[in-house]
Amino acid sequence: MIIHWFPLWEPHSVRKRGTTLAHILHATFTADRFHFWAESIDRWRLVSEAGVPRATSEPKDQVFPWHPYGARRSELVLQLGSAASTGRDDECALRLPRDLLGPFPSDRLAASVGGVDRSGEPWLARFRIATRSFSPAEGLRFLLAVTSGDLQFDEEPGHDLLFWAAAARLVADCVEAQRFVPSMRQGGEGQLVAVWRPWLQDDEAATRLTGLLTAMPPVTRGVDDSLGENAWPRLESALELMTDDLVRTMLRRDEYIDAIEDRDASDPHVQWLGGLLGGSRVLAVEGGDTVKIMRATRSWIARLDDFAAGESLRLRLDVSPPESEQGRWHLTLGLAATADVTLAVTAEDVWKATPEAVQMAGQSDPQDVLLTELARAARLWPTLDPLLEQATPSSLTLSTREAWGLLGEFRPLLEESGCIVAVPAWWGGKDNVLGLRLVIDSDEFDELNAPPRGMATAIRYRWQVAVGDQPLSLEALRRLRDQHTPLVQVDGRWIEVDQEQLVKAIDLLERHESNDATLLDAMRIASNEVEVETGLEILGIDATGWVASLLEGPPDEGVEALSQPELFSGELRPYQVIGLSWLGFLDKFGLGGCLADDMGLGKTVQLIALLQHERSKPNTVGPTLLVVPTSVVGNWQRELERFAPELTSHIQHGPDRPVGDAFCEVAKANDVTITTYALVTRDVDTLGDIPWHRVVLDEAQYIKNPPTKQAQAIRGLNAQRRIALTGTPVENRLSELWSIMEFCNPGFLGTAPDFRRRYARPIERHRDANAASALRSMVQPFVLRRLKTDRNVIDDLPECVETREFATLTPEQAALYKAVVDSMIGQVDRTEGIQRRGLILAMLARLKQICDHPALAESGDEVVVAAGASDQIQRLSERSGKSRRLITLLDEVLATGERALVFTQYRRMGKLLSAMVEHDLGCRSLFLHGGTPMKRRQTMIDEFQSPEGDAPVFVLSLTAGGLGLNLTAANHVFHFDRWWNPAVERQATDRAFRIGQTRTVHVHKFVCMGTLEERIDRMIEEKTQLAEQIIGSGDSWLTDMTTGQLHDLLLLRGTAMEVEA
Amino acid sequence: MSRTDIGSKAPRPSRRRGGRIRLKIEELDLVAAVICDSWLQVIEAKVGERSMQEGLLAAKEGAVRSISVEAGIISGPVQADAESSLAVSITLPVLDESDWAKLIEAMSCEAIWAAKLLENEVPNGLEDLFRGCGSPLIPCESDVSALVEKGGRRDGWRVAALAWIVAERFYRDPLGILAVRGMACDTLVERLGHHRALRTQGEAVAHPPVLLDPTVATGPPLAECLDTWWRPHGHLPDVPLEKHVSHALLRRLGPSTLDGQFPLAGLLATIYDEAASEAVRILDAPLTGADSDPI
Repeated sequence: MIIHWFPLWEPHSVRKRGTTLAHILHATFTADRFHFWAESIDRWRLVSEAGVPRATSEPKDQVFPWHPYGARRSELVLQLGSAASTGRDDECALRLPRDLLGPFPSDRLAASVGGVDRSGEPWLARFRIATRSFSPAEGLRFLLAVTSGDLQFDEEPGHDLLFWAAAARLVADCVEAQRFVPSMRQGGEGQLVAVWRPWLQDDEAATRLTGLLTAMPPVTRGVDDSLGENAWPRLESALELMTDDLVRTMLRRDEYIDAIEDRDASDPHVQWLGGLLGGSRVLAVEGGDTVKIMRATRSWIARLDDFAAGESLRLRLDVSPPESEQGRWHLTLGLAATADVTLAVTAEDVWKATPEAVQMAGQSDPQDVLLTELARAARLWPTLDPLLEQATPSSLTLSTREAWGLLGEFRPLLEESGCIVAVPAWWGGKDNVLGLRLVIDSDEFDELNAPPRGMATAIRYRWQVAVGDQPLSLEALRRLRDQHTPLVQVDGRWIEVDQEQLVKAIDLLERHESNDATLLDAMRIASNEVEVETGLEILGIDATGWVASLLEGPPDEGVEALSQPELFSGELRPYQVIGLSWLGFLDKFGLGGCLADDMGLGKTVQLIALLQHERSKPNTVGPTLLVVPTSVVGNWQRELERFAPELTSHIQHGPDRPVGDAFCEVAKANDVTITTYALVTRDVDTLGDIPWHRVVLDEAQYIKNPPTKQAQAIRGLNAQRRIALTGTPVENRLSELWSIMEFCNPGFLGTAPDFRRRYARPIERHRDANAASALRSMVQPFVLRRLKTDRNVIDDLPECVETREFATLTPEQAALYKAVVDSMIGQVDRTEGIQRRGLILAMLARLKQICDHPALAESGDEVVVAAGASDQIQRLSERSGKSRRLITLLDEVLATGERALVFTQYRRMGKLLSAMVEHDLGCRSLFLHGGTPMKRRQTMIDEFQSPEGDAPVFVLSLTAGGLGLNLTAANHVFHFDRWWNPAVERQATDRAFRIGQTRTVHVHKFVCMGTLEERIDRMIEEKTQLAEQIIGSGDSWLTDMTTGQLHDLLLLRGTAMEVEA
Repeated sequence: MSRTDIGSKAPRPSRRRGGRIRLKIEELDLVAAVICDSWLQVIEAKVGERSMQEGLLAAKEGAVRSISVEAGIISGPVQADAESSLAVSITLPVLDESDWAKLIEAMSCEAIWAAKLLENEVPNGLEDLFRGCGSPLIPCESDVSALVEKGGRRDGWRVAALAWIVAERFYRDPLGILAVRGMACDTLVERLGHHRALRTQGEAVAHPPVLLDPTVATGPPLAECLDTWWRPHGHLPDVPLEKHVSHALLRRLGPSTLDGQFPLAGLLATIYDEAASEAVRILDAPLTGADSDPI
């Protein structure tokens, strides 16, 4: 069994969850400042309804019109809050595509409002934009704040803002990595200007630069200023100004200019520093000195050029260790081919001009190249100097300390400069450095009789210093210390020894031979404290007894296998039984865990089975609190009823929910209490009064933001055991994992700042494999994640898995639904014959549309945003229970890199779905409907099927996309609304589930609870006589029902509505 | 010393030969050569035709003992009698910075000036260009003055003798006149190059250009992007930041080549460390500051 908890760190595009939005926030870089501005959705709506003055050409007086739905500066300041304080009110001129109706809205705005059709031929025109502008450094901070979540507001970032945020990130990364240089420019008047500039000449930066330039949205180049419309000049200017301003602001704040006070003003260094450190960037240099200082600076910076740029050959240094510690290391010179560095000749070959050397050199003179490169390398690493005193240098012997210096310190410098340094294979490996191992002694698994205390369980622990897996005795360590050398041999293996760390490690072992502690304390020490104290990396944890079973992880051997509970109404698949056993194992010790199986693998049923399992024992089990998103409350209720009908449950929701003692009674009387995330914050006192046997979080990523009140309230609940369920334990940042683990096992991963320092920063910024491995080994015992692609899971899964996705109606939907039923039932009753049948069909269509989205019930094509109670504009997806659920599910699909088909009967719904996907998930979608031209249809199919395609969601109308298409790139099929005919739905499903499909296909059928959708779905599932009528006859059978039957079928039940908390 | 008088008596050649400069180039070659002809005309206007002829003979006989050419002044001892000599000097105004700036501006318009100067050739029309800028390459007679130590009315030939020797210098190195007017040819070429760089590139930079695929660097024409105006073309790069050894660039740069005394590298090392820490703080919490951010 392969167990995953997360692959390493797979960032996805930043996804913003929320319920309301007011603006699309944009960023524009002009010649020297960042301008932030916004499209106001509200204003767009007003302008769209009222129309705008028509214009066919630009005004001749060069005064361009204001952007008609650009947010006012006062709105910007209000929305940006304190972040706006460093900026100033400003404006810029921007070219935008427009037609006779005015400027085209951005794609984000269009997606927010369900798509905007503009059929006119566009042209580019200038608009004045009211902005809040920032200096480059403040702009950088703001951009990073928006994309890192440091700044929370209702704006949606536009692609232009995300682009500039990526540029800002490049600058911050360059400065953090010290990849920037002081430089100078000569201005038009001949004066010299000092600048701090990112160093963008190496491969790493070039890769990012090319990626940035390729992705640069055209709008970023549409600025009407001196930088023109070419991509690179604008990006280069922004990168340089951000770097310069960032460094200079820090230098000014710390008054670095004082360093050159009273120094010789004619000293070129002082002159240059005068421009680099102070407020004025101009150097106090005149006349001929200008040329001299410029030339000298240029030749100095030119030293950073790749040694052998443009050369077919590169210098190669081969380092090899001696047989024994007493011997000297050997360094051999040679040349390697630039195109293939494994093709190499030794310096001896070069001097002898052997055929191999001549052949490899081609047009170059290998002897000249060798000497030139050797001289350059010697400037970086002076140990090479003696070679230059020889006539035909070819090799050198090194002391151990010199070799260590080369391997650790100078190798990266030489390699950056184009030199090839071949080092022994063991160098840099984890098995060749000293590290610490924590050894935990605990009782045997079977001997545990005491009540579980979870992380508070007492254990004994001690430290070992080890090289890889091999522990070293204290005596051996003292011997290493006494050798005073950075590289030593231990049992024939070379290891790197930091003497300072070694002394601290010896001190640690001498002070702590063996300690009593709780498991939590031991793990916390292992995760941080000792590493900080000694500087030695913690290589791992060894354990005996039950802790060993815990660390070995769930599966087959260490964990006692449970069997499916007798009362479970269904059949658990083998991997689900393993999941149940793992949950039971953690439960036995009172430990929290995170079940993070891929979407569709049945996390819900595993949890339900656990609830049944613990009730199969004679002991009384306390109640479980289930915290879930509002949209899946009904889903959980249905699943509990279906798989564990004997369990009693209470839904703690709605304005009439019990509180205080009344709630205590209800909670204790039921096995499960289901509530929502929003209510936990509000009812924290009521919920906090109950000593829960267990708290379970479904969609645990809801608490991913640690500082939020919601996350804090949930972590504060009084529970013996905690379980988190999520398909995406890490969606955007590793802090999300910390937050989930902090819920499951409080304190286990240390404090948030410690976690950031030790794991989040190295893994996210540097993809540090060692830190990722350490984190994985820490967390692995408490996280079970199986992917659908795991071999064992694949074997267990059928080829097609069908799931009902139950959704509630929003209050807006429910009101519309009820109004339609109330008004039309009466009309139906008063009519007969064809007129009655027509009326019923119209009513059914209207109700199904309302179940899909309230916007479908409205006339017009673009009125798809609505003001909520607080006058804020609701997100399109938030207006419908189904679309909210769809977005949540698609989010998980995309997070695992999979693709989905979404079928609907209604073209307008398809358009809305496509817009919602693009807006809420930030990814492209395709929409195929009956009006799609044949040529475009094939292009869309090819694009979706192509591995390089960037539209992972394909929305199709059932009639246009239900037949004949091959869409096997998808393994998720969503039926957003129902045709009631399984054959028709199966045909649609078969677009993905057909020859060529290699994965399990997950079919999600959406049903609105308490509405006609649920009742008809149930009839079909129960294969009633009525269902026989339904199948094959579309909706027509309904027209034969009596008014009473019809009323019963259509009546809105209490479960339908999402109750306002 | 007194100012020379025009029309002096013909000299008697010295009998001594040691420590003298003899004119070797033929008179006709000199008067036909560029620069030399203008120079000799000005001196002739100053000392008269007769003194020029006497000076020519004296120069050929080695009356000029030595010669010093500096910006604005040419001087040298010229024979007085068999045992002694008189100090003679010819002064002409040096062009100031504004004059040279005008000239450089004019010369940088056409590559031919710098190209010829680089080849150590006198470009055709050089004197016209100077004249056109209001600063004749060879100043007019009134701007030139000559002095002879203890000289009298008949010392014009001494000035002429020195002038002939100077003409011979100009024959061999006609661009030497530039140094006399205040700017050596090398400096002029350098300043022309610099000025040309400004004219052609707008401004000069000390760092090397970033080499990019021209198509990528330019981007598609905006007029062709109206359908994709707001969208990125593909995914924004998400490349992890590689770890680099501390001060990698600074150490690769090595000691500064700026010939300064202030310890630049040490201060830069501190700045690099502080800036890196600042960047970490900003990345952790761009607005609120890392300390107040719990994760």
